[in-house]
Amino acid sequence: MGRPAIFPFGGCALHGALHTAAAIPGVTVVVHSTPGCALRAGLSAGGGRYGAPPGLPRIAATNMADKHVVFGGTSRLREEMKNALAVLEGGMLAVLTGCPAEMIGDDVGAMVKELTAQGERVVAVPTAGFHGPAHEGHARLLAGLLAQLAPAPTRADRPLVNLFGIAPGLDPGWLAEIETLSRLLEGVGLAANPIFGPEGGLASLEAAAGAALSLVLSPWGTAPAEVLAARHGIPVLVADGLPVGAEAAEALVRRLSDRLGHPLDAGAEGSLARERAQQGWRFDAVLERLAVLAPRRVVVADGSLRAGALARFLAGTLGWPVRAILTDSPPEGVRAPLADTGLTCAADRADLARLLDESGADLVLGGASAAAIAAARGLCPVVLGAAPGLEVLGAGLSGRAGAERVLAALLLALAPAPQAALALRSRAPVPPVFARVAE
Amino acid sequence: MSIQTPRHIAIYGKGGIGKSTTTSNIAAALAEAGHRVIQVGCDPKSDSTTILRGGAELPTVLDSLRDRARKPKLEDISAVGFWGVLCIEAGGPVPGVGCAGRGISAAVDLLEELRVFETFAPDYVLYDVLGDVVCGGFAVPIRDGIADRAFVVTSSDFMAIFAANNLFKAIDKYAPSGGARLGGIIANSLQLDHARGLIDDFAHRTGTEVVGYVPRSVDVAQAELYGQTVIEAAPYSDQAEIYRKLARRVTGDLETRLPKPLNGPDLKDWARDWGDRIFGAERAAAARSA
Repeated sequence: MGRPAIFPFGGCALHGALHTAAAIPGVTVVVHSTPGCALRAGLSAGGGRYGAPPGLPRIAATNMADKHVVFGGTSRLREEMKNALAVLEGGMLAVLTGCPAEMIGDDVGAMVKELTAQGERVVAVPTAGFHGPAHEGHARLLAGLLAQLAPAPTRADRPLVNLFGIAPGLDPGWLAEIETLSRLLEGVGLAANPIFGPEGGLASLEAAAGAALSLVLSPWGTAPAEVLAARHGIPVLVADGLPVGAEAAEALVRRLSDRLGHPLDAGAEGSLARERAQQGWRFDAVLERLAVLAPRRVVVADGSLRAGALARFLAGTLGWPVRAILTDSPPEGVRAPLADTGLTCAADRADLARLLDESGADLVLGGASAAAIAAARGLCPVVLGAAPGLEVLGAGLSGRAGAERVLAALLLALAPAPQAALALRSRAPVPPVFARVAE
Repeated sequence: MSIQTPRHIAIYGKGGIGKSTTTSNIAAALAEAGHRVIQVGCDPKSDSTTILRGGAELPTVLDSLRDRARKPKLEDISAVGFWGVLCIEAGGPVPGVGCAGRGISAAVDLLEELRVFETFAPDYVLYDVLGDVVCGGFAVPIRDGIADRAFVVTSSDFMAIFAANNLFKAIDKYAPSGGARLGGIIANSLQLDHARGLIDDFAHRTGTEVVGYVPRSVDVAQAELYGQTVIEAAPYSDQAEIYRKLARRVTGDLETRLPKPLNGPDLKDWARDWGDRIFGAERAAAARSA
């Protein structure tokens, strides 16, 4: 993009890396940068709409000052790492570098080596904000950790599958997606290696090197998967985004099963058939109601984990014309798996507003931010995301439940309001007791 | 003589070209003529003002930045040298560590914060800036609000010319927004027959002017060995007179310009052309002597 971002969707690469590290139990972060980069100021104020992303824990930082920029900040980093290790009980210390540290070329690797030579568990990953958007930071951090960790044997008694491309704290409903996919794999005799969330952690991160396969669900999972492929020869399967709906979920597990040479048994086949039947019954109950409202020109504005898959699901299920606008700026080289949806990319909120104006859409599906922009432009918004900072509580779009959630949201947005609700639109007198409270 | 507003002059040039020697001799000549002068060395080596103060130790501006528990005073970061020239060294990190460019920027900021120019009330402030303009930090002295004119010291060596051409590019970038304009070229260490012609031709090609020619001299080498400027060590020498004349020229009323730097291919073609001319001249001389 040839201009500065106007109301960007997310933070910088460092923010994405911080969210990612915060989602791996057992990893403690030290940020080597100026104080604002570690979000101390932003967090102490509870985060802000245009300030630091909310939802992160307080993070230790070297708090570089002018003198560290001029004379080098490694002595400050050495001190900070030493202090952090003194209070850290187990786990691993991850040093994340911000823009000033990388611009002046602080030799962070040498500092880390001093500690690893003494048996400490410390890694450093270059995550300066200028490397790109927040999702890029997620990919860099995960790839960086996997490139440095020694592999640990997996304890799974079934083929272990790494889940890559779901960015904690950035993708709405990230934890729900991991949970759903884990259950899906479990149902067909595979074990998911989630890395993030309560089922993940340092052991899961180390076990990634012993997995049978890496499943890449968005372009942001490519770099970590490539690291494991190069270091440990772990094969990679690139999915077409999240499997929205029972059919997509079934197609994904069949691809996995073929690739791993792990045939589905009768139990797994039965489970898939039940999912199809459950979804079919529910869809039959509501699709007619959607059909009479159709066709709508739909735009899906979301990150590359969800946008392409959601667009395919809507086009396939409803037969409506659907376009996708990506809001997480994936690099051009890794957009191929999404290309069949006729996607475009919005670099920031201003760009998305322009693209929505030009799209001719009358219905916009996406996260809270995209929906707000759509509503402001007189388009019908369908909110499928979580409010900023609440991504961890957001509902997922994977599998049958995800598809049902999408249809429910569509009907809520499109169906005429019940007469009773319309009647309540007029301002009724406020009962005295509530009026007093309001004062 | 005292003028109300000090004139800030930046002097650039490739490392080792004699930039600090030239600047220090200009400072000494100005001070000798009765002006109040500050020389600010903008080089992490911190040796710009050495020959103005007999090689004595001088804490740098950035040394004071290391420990900001106490705000430094002017006397903490300066020394009075020959004829009262106030000597200041910006300083910087050790090689390979930190950011020297930010160091220059931080040092200039700190000088303003300390109100050095209001306190000392100089007539002239000379900035002796390290080598090539490699990043934004080294361009700080020629940005808006600091120096009003810049000079470049060069020899007839191609790499010195290359560095001069880069400075012209930086001036072209900053001058339209109020940055310094070019005062001219100072041709230093002239020794070989072709040197003057080559530098004159470069000035002509870039729409600039040579404001002084400084021949290589044993007086300079000897004075430096004594830790002095030529003005101090050999005040009645021809070389001292050359520096006095140069000092009058760079501070006088001269037309400042926007140079027209050569692009990469043009500079290479120009250099190759001069290579052919010098080689041709040597061959003709050899044929004559044979």
